[in-house]
Amino acid sequence: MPLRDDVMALADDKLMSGHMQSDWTGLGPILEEDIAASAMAQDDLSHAQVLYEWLGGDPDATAFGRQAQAYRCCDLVTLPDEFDWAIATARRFMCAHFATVLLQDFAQSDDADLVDRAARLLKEQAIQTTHLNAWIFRLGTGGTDAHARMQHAFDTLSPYVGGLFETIDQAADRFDRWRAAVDPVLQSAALKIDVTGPESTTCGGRSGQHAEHFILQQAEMTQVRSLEPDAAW
Amino acid sequence: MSGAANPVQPMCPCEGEDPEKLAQFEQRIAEGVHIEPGDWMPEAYRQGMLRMAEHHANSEIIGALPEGEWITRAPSLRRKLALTAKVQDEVGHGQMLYRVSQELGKSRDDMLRDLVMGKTKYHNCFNYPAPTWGDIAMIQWLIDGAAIMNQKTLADGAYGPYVRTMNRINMEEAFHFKSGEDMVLTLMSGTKLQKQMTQDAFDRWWAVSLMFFGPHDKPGAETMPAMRWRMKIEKNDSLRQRFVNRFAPAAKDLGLIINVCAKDEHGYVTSVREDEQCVRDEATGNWGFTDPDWDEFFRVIRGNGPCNAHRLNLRRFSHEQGDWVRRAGAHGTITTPPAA
Repeated sequence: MPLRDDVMALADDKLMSGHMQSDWTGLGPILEEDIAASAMAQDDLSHAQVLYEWLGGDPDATAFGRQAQAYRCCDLVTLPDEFDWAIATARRFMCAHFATVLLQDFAQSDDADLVDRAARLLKEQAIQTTHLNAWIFRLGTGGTDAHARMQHAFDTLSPYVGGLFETIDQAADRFDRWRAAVDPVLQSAALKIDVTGPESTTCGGRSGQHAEHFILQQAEMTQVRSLEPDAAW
Repeated sequence: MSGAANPVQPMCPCEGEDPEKLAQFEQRIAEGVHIEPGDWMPEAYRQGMLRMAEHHANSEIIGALPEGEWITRAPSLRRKLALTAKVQDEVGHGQMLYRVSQELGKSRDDMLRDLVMGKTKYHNCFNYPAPTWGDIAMIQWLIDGAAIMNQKTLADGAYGPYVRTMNRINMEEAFHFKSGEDMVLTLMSGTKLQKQMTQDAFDRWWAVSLMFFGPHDKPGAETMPAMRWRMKIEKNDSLRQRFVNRFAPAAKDLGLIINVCAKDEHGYVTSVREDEQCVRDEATGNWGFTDPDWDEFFRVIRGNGPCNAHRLNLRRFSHEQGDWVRRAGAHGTITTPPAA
């Protein structure tokens, strides 16, 4: 069921992206951008919920109740940003464009319910990509220091980009569409990513082979709920 | 989250001010006319309003920290979304209040720098720990409840930009309070562990909530400039009594016990005894309460509370980490990036 697998992969990406970015709320570098980034983190959490609903079952149980190896989020999403806004922004930029590619395809699928959901999510996704494109450009052209920090962030994250496409259906085609979206923005900001293609041999998050940092993140995410797993919170 | 309880220091009389202009200014306030940024105002009024709005803005920014630490641990998607949105609102309140302050003559950069350098203050209540999810419920219920009570009176003030900002903030705070009320109700309807977690958190936050409104009023507070000029509308003790009248019976209805607590230097409760004064006086309708420890209040306000250093260090770290982004944002001419 490639479609269901892809929806689960994106839903888990969205959950963890929202989880990681929401942690910045109140700590962003500029008040207005703190607010905007938090709004996008909330979008991501909501998108996860919408996609979990389509997959069936209780979205909270799906989000919080699985064993770590059942999550399908990729390593790019869960890599700790070490409180570095350059890493956080570069990651969100790459993940937002990946989400757009998948949501566009979900919106063309044969499942009417998924088509409706994807169409709704794409509207918010477009706000994210527009906003993040502007920030990649602004930071990439924002002076020598900012450019170096952003290039370092893309250099740090590039090895993990292949993981976005691990287990994803039509990976080669989707990778090309993703590059077509990110490349013009990166070029406008004189930034580069060293990525040649989807890493079909990667064995990582999409296969449930998560790094230790994800295990710690999941433990933190479920810390309160696991005190009384069956209770209302 | 936080109303600027009692940041207004007694100001010196308006020496050197034009008596005619001062009389007209006070007449306008007496008539309920709003003072706007371009209007004439005594220097003491401008400084007082700046201090008040800046303190309030700082409190919103620092107030985002204790709750922000729990976003990653929120126990459901709904709570995670609500808490993120709530903390985001507080940042937005800070942004609006810094705008008000800027018009009174201080740049945002200067205000944020003074905050992280410890030159300016924020509300005392954020210097206490929030060690459990129950504390998040209590902050949203008790502290936001206290803030709404205070800020509703401030919305009757005289300085137009601050009043309009209070009205907007109060609408959002009402959502926060409802969220907190729902969290407390859910926990107190839950398991033994959840109820105990809630009672423990209530023990940590009840006295802090009483202190929220500031120390006892000095004699003649209503004739001091802060109240005469409608920067401050209601006395601390009056607000505190209204808070107790609203929340003591609500807490008891939920099954919470109102205790008088001793705390250690980390803000954790070391012993409790039920507050026997917390009963309703049938003659006045007022609920009694044991006065909080004012020595502790002044110790914390002087910077020696359980979390003063932690909160300020985190804010300073965030400010320093974001410096390059602010510099990049200010760099050169921003042109349009490629379309999405």
